[in-house]
Amino acid sequence: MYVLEIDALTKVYGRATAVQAVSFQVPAGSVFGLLGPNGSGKTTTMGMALGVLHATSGSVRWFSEPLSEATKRRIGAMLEAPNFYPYLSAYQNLERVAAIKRVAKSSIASALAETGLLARQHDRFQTFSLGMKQRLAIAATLLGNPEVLVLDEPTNGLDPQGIVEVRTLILDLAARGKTVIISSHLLDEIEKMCTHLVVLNKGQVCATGPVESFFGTAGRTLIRPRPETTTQQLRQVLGGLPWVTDLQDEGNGYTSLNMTSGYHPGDLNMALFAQGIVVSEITPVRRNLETQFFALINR
Amino acid sequence: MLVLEARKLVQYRTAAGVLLLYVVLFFLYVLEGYKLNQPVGQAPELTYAFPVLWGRLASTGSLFSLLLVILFLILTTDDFQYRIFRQQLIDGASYGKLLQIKFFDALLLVVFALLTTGVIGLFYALRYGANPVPMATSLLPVVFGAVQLVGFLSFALFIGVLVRKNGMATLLFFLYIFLVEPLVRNRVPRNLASLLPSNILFTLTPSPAVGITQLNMQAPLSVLPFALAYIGLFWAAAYLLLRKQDL
Repeated sequence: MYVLEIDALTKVYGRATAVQAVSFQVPAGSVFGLLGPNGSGKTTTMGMALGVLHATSGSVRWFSEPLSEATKRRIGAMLEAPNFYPYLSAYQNLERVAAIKRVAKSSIASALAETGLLARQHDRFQTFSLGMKQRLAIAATLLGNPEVLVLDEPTNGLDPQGIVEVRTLILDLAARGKTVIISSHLLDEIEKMCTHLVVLNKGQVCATGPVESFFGTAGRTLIRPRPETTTQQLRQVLGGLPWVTDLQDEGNGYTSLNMTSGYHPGDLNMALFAQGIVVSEITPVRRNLETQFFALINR
Repeated sequence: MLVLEARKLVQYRTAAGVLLLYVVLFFLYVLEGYKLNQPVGQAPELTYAFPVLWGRLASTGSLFSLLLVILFLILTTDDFQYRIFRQQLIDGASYGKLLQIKFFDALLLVVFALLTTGVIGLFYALRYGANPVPMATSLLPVVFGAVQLVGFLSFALFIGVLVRKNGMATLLFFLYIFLVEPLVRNRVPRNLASLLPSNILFTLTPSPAVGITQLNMQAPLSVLPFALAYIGLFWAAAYLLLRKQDL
């Protein structure tokens, strides 16, 4: 089941196309990342999904329905910077959010406690650090206990301590069964938090799917034979395998290679053993998200 | 939400400053300005006497209500600047609800203006007036003054939603009221000129130099339907504009 289905969403500003035919689905219970460089269309896509930007074409469905006031009450969202009155206190700002969401005031204290702001609830928003402002925005999204949280760049501008705090909070919310949609240009954050991902670049979808699929099986494999096998013998045998390509000597007895899709380290081990070569190590080198990301956006 | 808006106004230093300025200037103007602008042929002790005082206060209030208009423009454009409209829409508010909240702001400013007028009127009438008995009918100019303020606030809302930026919105508002419309009035037929919005709204309050015998409610009564129509038009235009815009 999907909580959000975006189909061929397009946004045109004059002659510039900010988002072009973007389509993806967000599975229920996932931590879904929108990843892309600055200006890739992440915020515009989320703005259209949340109904504050008018789509030029395409459709958005939340919980299999068009966006409505009723569906909005099932979503807690912040877009770009935290949006509050600077001269009101944290509590007073959340009072206003609670009134709009038609949520009891009693839930404000728990949202503030959850985000670690209870002790500062009567301080003005303008006196808050960037991290506290972000946490207050998350507290606002928590009001009404929504099923889905949409957080745009939630760790933007935070120090390492703040990033860890926000990440822990998001993972904790996800562990409680909430679907969390996060947009970010920070690969590390997305890699650490997300279960699913869509990569946007220049307003278009480059790839989408579970995060594991981005690390891929098409990475290189490192192999080290037992000392009695020389590198030359190894290369000779490997060279005879049609599904092994791009052999490279990595030093220290290691050789790296690529395998054609469908073949696995076990196949390699069996093939070498059949030729009388015993290996002491075969390591698939997983691509990290950064490698994949740059491969996708430079495609 | 009305209570939350009232609290917001009190907490906002800019708003509190403008409201304080409004009261102080209004009070001082009635104290000193009325002596200087004594209507010809009117006994000095009648300056602060009912029923003419209400008419003069409505007229003076009309002058200072422009301060309240500036404040309302700030409050409206703030909601764009701080992205409050956008967040409220995300949180589940309808476009109508966004304008309802602005209506509460306008209502609070009108109530504040009425209370200020009432307190200043009673203070001066009881202290200096020859006939300190307010007559219910003589309150009509104050009511028309309130309608006038609602009209200007409605126009300010429209400008604020159209322009979104505080400085530009304020500039555009005053340019229209004091430059564009007077120029247009000179170039269109008289009957059409009299129907232009700021002309209609200014007609709702008597001239500042009104004397006790000159208090005439015919003109405001005749333009009242047009004023109400303009108020409705400005709110409807603001609603449509808000709906059409990306927030």
